[in-house]
Amino acid sequence: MNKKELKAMLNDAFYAPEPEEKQSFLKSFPPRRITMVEFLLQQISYIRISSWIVFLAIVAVAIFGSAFGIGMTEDIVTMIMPFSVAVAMVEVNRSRKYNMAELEMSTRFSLRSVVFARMVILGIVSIIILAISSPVIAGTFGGKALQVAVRVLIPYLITMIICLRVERSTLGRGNGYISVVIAGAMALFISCADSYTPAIIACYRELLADWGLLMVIALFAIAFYEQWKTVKTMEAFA
Amino acid sequence: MKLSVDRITKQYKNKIAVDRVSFELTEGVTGLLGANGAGKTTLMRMMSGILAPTSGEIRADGIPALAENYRAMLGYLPQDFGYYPEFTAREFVEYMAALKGIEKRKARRKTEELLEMVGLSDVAKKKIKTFSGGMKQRVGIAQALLNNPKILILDEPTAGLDPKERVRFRTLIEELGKDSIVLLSTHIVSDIEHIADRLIMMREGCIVWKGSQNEISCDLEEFYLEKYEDLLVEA
Repeated sequence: MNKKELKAMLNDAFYAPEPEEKQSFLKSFPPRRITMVEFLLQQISYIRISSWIVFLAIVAVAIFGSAFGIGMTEDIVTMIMPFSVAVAMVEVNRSRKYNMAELEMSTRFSLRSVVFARMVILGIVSIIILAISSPVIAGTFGGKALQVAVRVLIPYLITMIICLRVERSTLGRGNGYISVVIAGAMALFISCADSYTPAIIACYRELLADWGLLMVIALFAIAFYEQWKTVKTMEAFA
Repeated sequence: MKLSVDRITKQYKNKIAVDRVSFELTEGVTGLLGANGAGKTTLMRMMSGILAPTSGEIRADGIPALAENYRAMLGYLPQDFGYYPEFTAREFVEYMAALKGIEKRKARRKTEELLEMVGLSDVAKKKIKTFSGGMKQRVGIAQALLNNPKILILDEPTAGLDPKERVRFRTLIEELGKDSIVLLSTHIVSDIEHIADRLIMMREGCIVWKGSQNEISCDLEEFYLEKYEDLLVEA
């Protein structure tokens, strides 16, 4: 009898006992959990392509407008930046729109984390867009990149503050695309303001030259506060 | 593990949805019976940590229901849930795995395993929006089991399932109840008749009866109706 046969005979003669409380034993080991950073990276893949297209379009307008010397490039970028807020708001509110909120609230990274992650990701993307667009526009049409950034940021932040406040209201909860309407209104205002309210715009530009940076800081602070309130409202269902 | 619900109350303006409810659960299947509007869903939402109670507290081995550690060991299937329209069954379950903090490789393996278990592996690549009600419910059951939950809360899980699926689901719940705390709500007595070790009956936000099935000598359906009739007479 060779070793192989002996092994087979032993296998036939003795049966491995049935595992006892296998599931309880396996459950006693905590699985490796992903970190917050890994979670943020995972969430990037769940932002829709259509949203990325809007962000890419803004950068493309800035680069091609500057490359072809189109004089209104900065105005166009200022007008379309508020739409990136609208896109971000639509992304953030998808849970509610598609009735996923209850499920997302019951998971380890709850709805608050999802909303926070989406806000962080889209906020970083907006900063990257601004960091690319401002020097490109300033380089082509003159002026400082910081000044361009301030001019683009102010309507963007105002739109964000309005959208965050409205989205938390009854009006916002009932209308999935209210942010798009707000962004559209802001874009329309920017495009018409020069023609219809020249005195106010001249005054605004003077104010920007002296106080622009401070205004941006103040608006950033308000926007952060509004974001915090939005995340906070996600803590309880109903 | 011990899950304790201590004098939990939920009040919405002038309506009390759940009124000073207390009980303790250990491993096994517990059926939560009650007519529509009895407060089952509100109670389950509070037990899932997604709804803060007006007063009282819920703890699992001392961990409060609103804590992340509690949610990490929870599996929850709401009565009515949606899905992102672009998601396939596989993407949906993988997305939920990401929210449950399961690492990608393990999530993929677990997703395949669970879709196979609920009989959806053939349609894993299909969009959920093309699914029937029963198929959607099975996707929901799969996501609830992703993290091998120690606490499993299922709100009307058999809604939309055909008779064959119901039987299969009951067997699965019975198996899960061996190692986990399973709380299953329904208004259909036959759903829990053979699988629940314990029963909690609710009416108008209050518990009208709780105990083991062994304590019930007659038919469960008769007993259930009797409890409600008693209350109606008292009222």
